[in-house]
Amino acid sequence: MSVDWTEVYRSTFPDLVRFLHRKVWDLERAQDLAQEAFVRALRHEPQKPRAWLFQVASNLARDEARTAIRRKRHLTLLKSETEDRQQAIPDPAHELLERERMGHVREALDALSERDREVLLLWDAGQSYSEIARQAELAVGAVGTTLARARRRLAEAFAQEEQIDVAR
Amino acid sequence: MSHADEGALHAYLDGALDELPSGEGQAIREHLAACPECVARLEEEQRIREEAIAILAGPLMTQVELPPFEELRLRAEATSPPKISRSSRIYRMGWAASVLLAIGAGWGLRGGAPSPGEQSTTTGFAERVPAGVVASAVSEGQPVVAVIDGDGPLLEDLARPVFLQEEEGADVVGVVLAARDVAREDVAARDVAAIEFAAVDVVATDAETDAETLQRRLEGELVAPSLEGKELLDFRATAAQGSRLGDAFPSFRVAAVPVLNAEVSEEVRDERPLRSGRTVVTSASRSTAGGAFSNGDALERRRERRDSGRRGGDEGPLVVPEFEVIVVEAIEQGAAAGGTRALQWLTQADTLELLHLPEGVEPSDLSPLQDEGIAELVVLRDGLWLVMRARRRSVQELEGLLERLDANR
Repeated sequence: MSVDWTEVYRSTFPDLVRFLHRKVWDLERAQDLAQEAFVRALRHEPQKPRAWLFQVASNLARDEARTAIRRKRHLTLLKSETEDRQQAIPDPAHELLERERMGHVREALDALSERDREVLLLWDAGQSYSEIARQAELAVGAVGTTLARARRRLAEAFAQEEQIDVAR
Repeated sequence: MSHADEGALHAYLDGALDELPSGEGQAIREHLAACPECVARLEEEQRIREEAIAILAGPLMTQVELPPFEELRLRAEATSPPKISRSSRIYRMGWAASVLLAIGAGWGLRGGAPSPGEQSTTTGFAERVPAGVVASAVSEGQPVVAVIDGDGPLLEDLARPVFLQEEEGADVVGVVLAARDVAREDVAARDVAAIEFAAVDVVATDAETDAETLQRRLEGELVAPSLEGKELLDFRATAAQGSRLGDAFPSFRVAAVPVLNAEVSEEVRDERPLRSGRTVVTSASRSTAGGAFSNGDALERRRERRDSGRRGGDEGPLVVPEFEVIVVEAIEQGAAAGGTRALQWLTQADTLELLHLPEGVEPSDLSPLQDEGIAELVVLRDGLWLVMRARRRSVQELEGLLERLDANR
C-alpha cells in the first residue's frame, strides 16, 4: 500500500506543529522539528505515517528539551515570535495580554504529569483515541480517563495561574 | 451497568465511543439514555472539556505556513541511505527479538510465584519511566510482570537513575522494562499487547492509592488486572520507615523494595551491597539518554564492582555522546547471559549497536555476524569486550566513534 505523502503532509503538518509548539514553546522551532519528522518519515516510509510522525515528533521534542542549546535559541526565537505577532496584532497592549496568557497556558500544562500532558496534546492535535492509546501505551479504554483527569487539572491549574496574576 | 465513569463520559463527549472495545460504547450510550444522574455529570464534564479546549486554543493557535513539500523530499533524498533489506532488518532486530522471546518463554514456564527462599537477584536500572509504566523482571527463567502505578512523586522517583534490588526475604524483584522503541514504527504495539495480555504478578504503587482506585486504574491499563494473590511492591519504602502500603492494602503481602536513587544511593549501597548473581533481562526505555546512563555513572559502577571483587553481567551501558539512545537492555542468549546492548541512532537514520560483554563472555559467543553491510569493531576495554556495530560505515568511522566514546570516559 503506497502512501500519498503530499496528502499526509498537507493534513498532518499543521497538527504536528500545533502539537510541537506546546512542547517546545517556540513556533519556529516547532516548525523545524515538524519538518525534521517529515524528513525522517520520508526516509523510513512507515506504514502508518500519521501515528509514526507524532511518535517521532514527541521524541524529537523530548530530545530538544534536553539540550542546553535550546535555552539559548529560545531567547532569539522569543524575540522573533514577538516580531511575528506584532505583525499580526498591532495593538501592543493586546499583545502583552496574549503573551501573558500564553505563559499561563504553559505553566498550567507544566502542572500536568508527563503522560497526562502528552495525551491531552495529542488529542488537541487531532489524534484519535486509538492513536493516542498506541503512542502513550495506554489501553483505548484508559484514554478517556486520562483526558478527563488532564482536562480537569489543566482547568484548575490555569485558573490558579490567572488568580496568582490578579493577586500581583 | 454501573454509572459511567469520567473516562466514559469524556469518550462520549469526544465522539470516541466507537473506538472502545466491543460493546462498551453501546453500553455507555444506553446507560446515559436511562440515567439522569450521569447526564448531570456529563454536563459538568462537558464544561471542563470546553474550558480545556478554550485554554489550549487561545493565542497559541498561530497560522502555520506549509513549507514546500518538495524541499523536504529533497532533504530526505539527499541524506537517504540505501533501503535496508528485509533480512538485515531482521538481523538488526535480532537482539531485541531474543529478549522478547526470553520473556515469552518465561511466561509460559512460570507457575505461580517463586518459592520462598529461591533467589531472584538482579541489578537493574531504569530512568525516565513513563507514567503507568510496565515493569518486568525475568530471573532464572521466572519472569515477573509488574505494573508500576501512579504518578507524581512515585514516578518522579523512578524517573531518576534507579536501581531495583531485592529486599531480603522478598521473592520477587521488579526490573523496569519498557520494551518499546526498538524499532519504533512496528514493534511498539506488539510489545504493549504482549504486556497487556500477560498475567500481572506484581503491582507496585504508591502509598496514596487505595486498593479500589488501583484496581480501577489497572482496569484501564490491562486486560486481566485482578489484584487477587498479587504481591505488592513498595518502591517508596525506605530502610528507616519501611513500607506504608500495608495499611492501604491489608489483604496483600507487601514487600518493600527500596528504589535507590541518586539521593540515597550511597547510604543504601553501604547497607546493602549489590549481590552477585545472574544477570536478568533488563531494559529501559529509549529516554535513558538523558544522563542516567552516562558513561561516568556506568564506569563508577563498574569500578565499585571491580574493587569489591564482585561480578555481574550488568555493567551499564556506555554510549557515544550526542547520539540519541534508542534502547538499552541486557543481553541474554540461551543460557549465557550478561552484558548490555545499547542501540543508538546515528545520523542518516543509521544505527550504532554497542555491546558490552563482561568477563567470561567472548564476542565469539554471540551469534555470528551475517550481514556484510555491517562493520564491526571489537575492542577490549577494562576487562570488558566492547563490540561496536554500525551499518555501512567503515571501520575507520567506527574508530572515530570509539574515540568519542573514550573521550567521554
